[in-house]
Amino acid sequence: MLGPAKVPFPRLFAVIRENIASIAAMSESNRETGPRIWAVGGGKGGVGKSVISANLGVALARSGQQVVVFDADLGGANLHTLLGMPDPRLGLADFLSRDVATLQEVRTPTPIEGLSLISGARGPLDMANLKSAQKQKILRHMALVEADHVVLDIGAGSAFNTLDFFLSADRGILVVVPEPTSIENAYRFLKAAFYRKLNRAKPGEGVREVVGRVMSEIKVSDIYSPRELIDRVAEKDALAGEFLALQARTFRPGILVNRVSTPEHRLLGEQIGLACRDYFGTEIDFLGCVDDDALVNRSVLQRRPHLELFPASPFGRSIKALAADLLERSEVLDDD
Amino acid sequence: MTTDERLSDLRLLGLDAEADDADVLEAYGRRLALYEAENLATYSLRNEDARLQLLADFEAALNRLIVKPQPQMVISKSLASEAQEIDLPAGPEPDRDGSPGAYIRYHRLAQGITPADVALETKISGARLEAIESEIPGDLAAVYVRGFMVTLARFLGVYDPEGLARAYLDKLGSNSGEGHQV
Repeated sequence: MLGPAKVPFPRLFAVIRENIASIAAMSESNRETGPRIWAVGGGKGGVGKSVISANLGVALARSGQQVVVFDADLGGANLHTLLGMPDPRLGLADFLSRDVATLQEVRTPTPIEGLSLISGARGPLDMANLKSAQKQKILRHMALVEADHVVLDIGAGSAFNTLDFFLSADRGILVVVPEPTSIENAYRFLKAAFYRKLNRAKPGEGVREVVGRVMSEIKVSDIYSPRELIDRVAEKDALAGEFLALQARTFRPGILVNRVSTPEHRLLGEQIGLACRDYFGTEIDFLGCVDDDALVNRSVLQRRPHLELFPASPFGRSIKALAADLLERSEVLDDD
Repeated sequence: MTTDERLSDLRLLGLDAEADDADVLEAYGRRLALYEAENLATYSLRNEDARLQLLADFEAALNRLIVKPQPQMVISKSLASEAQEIDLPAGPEPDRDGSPGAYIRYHRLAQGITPADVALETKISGARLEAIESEIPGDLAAVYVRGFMVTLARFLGVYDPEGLARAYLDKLGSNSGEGHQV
């Protein structure tokens, strides 16, 4: 794919080293300590992110992990309800208003042992209106939370703040249902997240200039996908192409298909993964399916965690399998 | 075909350098299914022009990766093989959509191509070829069968390989009563 380098070797190595250092500095999973962070998003509302986030937290806690569920669905926070708790006394709003100094102090215990909640319920905050400095503060402190895992419900939509929370996680989990609108929104979200990632990355000066120049030379109407764009850039300049390709390679969200009820639905997740590989040039993980289950409605109405009421139900089993899978993956992430 | 070009084609199909012909067929078949016009997973990712372009790109890559030999060369081989009497098939050309297996057998026999020749060039075994030509459902998922059918059709020089694959899947789909297993 890459043509011959246009830069003599010593300079090439220096430039690559410089770029990789700055990319690593921005890298989402550069932390050696701190909790494993799973961001659950969906692009579209109503696909089951919150029910999945809450019960994923329960499942992880039940397997002996220390877990925080973080309700960052500002303006739509309801994880406390799904966990069977009243509106917590302290939450994210208090942290941001500086009434408390750390996220640890707004951590509320839940009825499930090992599981606590950081709630976004109180306060006038809206994800889209969160200021950049506030977002940075939350992200910094999230890495300091004393837990094994943080399950972060980032809510719906593709506002920059939502995208940034998604990108900052160790692994982003995109929830879709087998409906055209959900899948359209999911792709919209992924495209937005991908371009956001490209824009946030800080290549060395030389590379940025080259990427800019090459992109202005390419006829945009001929390009149908980010992957094609990256290939075209690589044809014109190996280093710029490699920089973009590295961004693509490290963009690895997972897809979870919720409300699955037919064999075609089960194929859908794999197909989305394949389509994303073709479109973005990146390995998108298919994390599995969550079975359609009429009992979910019942547990929500009762305002109790589904895994407490119906642990052996289809939904319950799917979530437990997901938790086990994520635990296995987090061991792999540790080896990276 | 240079190594770089081969790698580029393999990469287009999501494969690495270690991929063999069977892998290529499978990957191609999966993509045919994936980029069908109304597939829920892909319809919103690309407009119609882009979708058709992508399918054309896959087909071009397949053609370069799995080289179709000239039938004349195969006939020479057949003639050179052990005193085999090649009988031209009796009767008219079978209807492709009604009897896709028989259609394939007709075109194979008409060019004097033996099952051994097919196996050598396309990696489709004698047993599988027999099953395809006799329209016996097997245990392969549709995506693999699609890949085999397209390869066979290309090898035999048959017009509209994809149409043949579709006809075959439609017919056997309705035989077995199941949409996916063929």
